[in-house]
Amino acid sequence: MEREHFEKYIKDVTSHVRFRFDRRKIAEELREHIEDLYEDLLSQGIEAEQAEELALEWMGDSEEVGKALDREHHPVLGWTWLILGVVCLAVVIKTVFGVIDLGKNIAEGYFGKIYPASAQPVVYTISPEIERQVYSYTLYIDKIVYYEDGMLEVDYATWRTPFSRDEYWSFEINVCPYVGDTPCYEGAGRYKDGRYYGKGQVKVRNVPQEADRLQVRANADLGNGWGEPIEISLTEGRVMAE
Amino acid sequence: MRRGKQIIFFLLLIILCAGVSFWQQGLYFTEEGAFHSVETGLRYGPSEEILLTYDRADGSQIIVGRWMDGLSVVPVERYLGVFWRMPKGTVVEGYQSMRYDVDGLVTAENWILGLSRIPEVSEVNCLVVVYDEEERKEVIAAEVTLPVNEEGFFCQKLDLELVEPTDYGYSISYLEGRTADGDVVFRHGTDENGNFFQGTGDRFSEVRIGGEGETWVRVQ
Repeated sequence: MEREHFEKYIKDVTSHVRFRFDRRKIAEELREHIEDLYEDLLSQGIEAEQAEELALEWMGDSEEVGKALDREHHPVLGWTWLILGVVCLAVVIKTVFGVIDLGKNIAEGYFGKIYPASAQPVVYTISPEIERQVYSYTLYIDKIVYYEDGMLEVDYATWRTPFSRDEYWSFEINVCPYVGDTPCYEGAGRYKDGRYYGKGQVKVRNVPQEADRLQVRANADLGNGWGEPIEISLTEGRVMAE
Repeated sequence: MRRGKQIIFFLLLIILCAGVSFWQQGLYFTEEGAFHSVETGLRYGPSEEILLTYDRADGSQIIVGRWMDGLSVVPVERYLGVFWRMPKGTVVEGYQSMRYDVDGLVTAENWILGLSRIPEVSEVNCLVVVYDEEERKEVIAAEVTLPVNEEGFFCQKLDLELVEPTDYGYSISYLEGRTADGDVVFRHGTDENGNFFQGTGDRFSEVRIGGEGETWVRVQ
């Protein structure tokens, strides 16, 4: 029986709260409070009916309580909180997905595979371990492999910091082997992956085994302009295949 | 009060996340910021000075800067009212080396842009040509005379029909540099009579990119 009176009181109070999304929570708090009061009065030996009346009396006039709670849960503040909360959640989710995508992109580039440029046996391998900074990119020349069929493979990697604000453009290198001062370039393909960490390969065919140096140029995208070459000796640091 | 604090927290988080997003998207509060980010992304520049800004038909702008011996021609556009960025899906002319003592180019928007390294040159005369597919040769589209400013820069919008990007664009076939007295001190290219003149100052322009001790770029 008392529940009906309590619920009516609660409904009267919450009807004054204009921000509807808070009504349920307010109702729960009021219900809990009234129940506590009621139980307390019963434990003091007061009759159930009287305890019910006293509990509601102590709670105060429903209109006054309702208006006071409406001020506390003002709709402007409530709606601002709700809208900002939803926007915040969306923005955070987008950022988290962006960070995951960034990490995935870096990992894909880092763990990307470089395949041998030729099926023929390897003659020698050189690991020049050259590192150059070109604006927001770091260029690493990792490995040079020479095959029995005259194919020369240059494996490299580039790292572009995700914090770079420079507009993104792909970054590839060009290579040219020399025998003395004579260039012996015959392109056989190339590829480059990765926006942040990227691995690439340049292949040159019909390179004579006596080729003694390699020029590597970092593309600066200046029309016909190419970077000052990085000179790599093809005679030093050779690891001959067994 | 608790809700007020939450609102402030939400706002701060939104500003932080939006800031990170705008940072990563290459958005800038100034057109110069967007311009320089394209240049350094292309691994040259940034330009020492901005020489010219002009509007394009699509509402974006072209900024022309000077870097070393050449010109940097980069499009930028307004984004969301307050930001600047490089327009997507557009051709970026980027760095244009000025090979001769007086040299120039015609942009996709039909602006003649050029530089003179000869201080005495106060005006240039340009013969602009376009490839005629029917005649299968270059035909004269315009002949213009334009002043050179104190910094050696010259520019003018040509009153010509815009050429579709897939068509052959306009180019300068002959360029003549004159002093204030009208003396011709520079000639390069093929004039209207078919005579070829070799301009002075033909050189590889060596420029450094990436800061001191870093890569050099040889511009042909």
